[in-house]
Amino acid sequence: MSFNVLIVDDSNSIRSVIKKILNISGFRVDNCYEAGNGRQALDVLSKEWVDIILSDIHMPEMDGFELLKELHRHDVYTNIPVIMISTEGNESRIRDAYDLGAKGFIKKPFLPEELKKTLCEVIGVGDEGEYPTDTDECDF
Amino acid sequence: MKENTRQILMNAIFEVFEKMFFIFLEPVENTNNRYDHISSIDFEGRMKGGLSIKFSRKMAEMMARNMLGCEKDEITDHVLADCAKEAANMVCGNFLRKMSRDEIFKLGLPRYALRGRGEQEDMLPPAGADHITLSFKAESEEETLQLKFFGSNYD
Repeated sequence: MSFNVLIVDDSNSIRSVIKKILNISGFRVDNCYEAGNGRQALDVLSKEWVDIILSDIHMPEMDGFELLKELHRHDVYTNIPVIMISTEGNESRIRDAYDLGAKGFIKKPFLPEELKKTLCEVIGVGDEGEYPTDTDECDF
Repeated sequence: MKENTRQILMNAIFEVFEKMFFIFLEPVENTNNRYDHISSIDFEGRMKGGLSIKFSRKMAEMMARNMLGCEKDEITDHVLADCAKEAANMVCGNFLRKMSRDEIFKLGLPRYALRGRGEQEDMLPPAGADHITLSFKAESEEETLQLKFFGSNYD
């Protein structure tokens, strides 16, 4: 099974790094869409089917928290799992993200393994408690 | 206590550069290098202040090359600006998290300027403001950066 992924971050560099990690981690990505903020992400979602969203919090125009609220307002988007990837990683901000429906949280800076592990957890690989190790390939 | 802040800043920049740019920084007293790029970010919360990082061109190129895995001819000014802004963003966010796990800080959007082009005075510590300066080099004396941190109530 392969997935359509939407990466939301105002930094081109971070979007490129995440795409690269997805590729080298063995994730089967059908389409990888990109958006520079929450507004652009909603625009992508109105046109394309997306299985998982990786989103920054701190972005111009519409930030990651506003995006989570918008997703929650639309029945068709509310079940799309969202992983937040942010420099803002204090406990209360992480709680806020989960309260708004995020399924995972990764703090920048991050290692490729952290992204891979969280993705596998959120997508459901390793539900038996066996999460991939650094050397495991997470094969969806 | 200022020494504590200095150490936390060091830890924050080491972690960001090792994880995201695969660069192992070495603290130096000072460098005579010219800094061609500057990025900065402001924050508000229990402390209010900002952080700026000046990069030599070689350092900025190394960051872009390592982070994005691109060749030298693929590194545009836009790529350098994006990497420099993201570095300031991650170092500041990481530093504030290390200072306090529970407090909320509001980060501004990172800004960037080329030396002599678009550089704003408010990207640097205000004149006379108490601040911390840290200088680093990477593999050679040409790859250098200088971080300046300033803030109220940061002791």
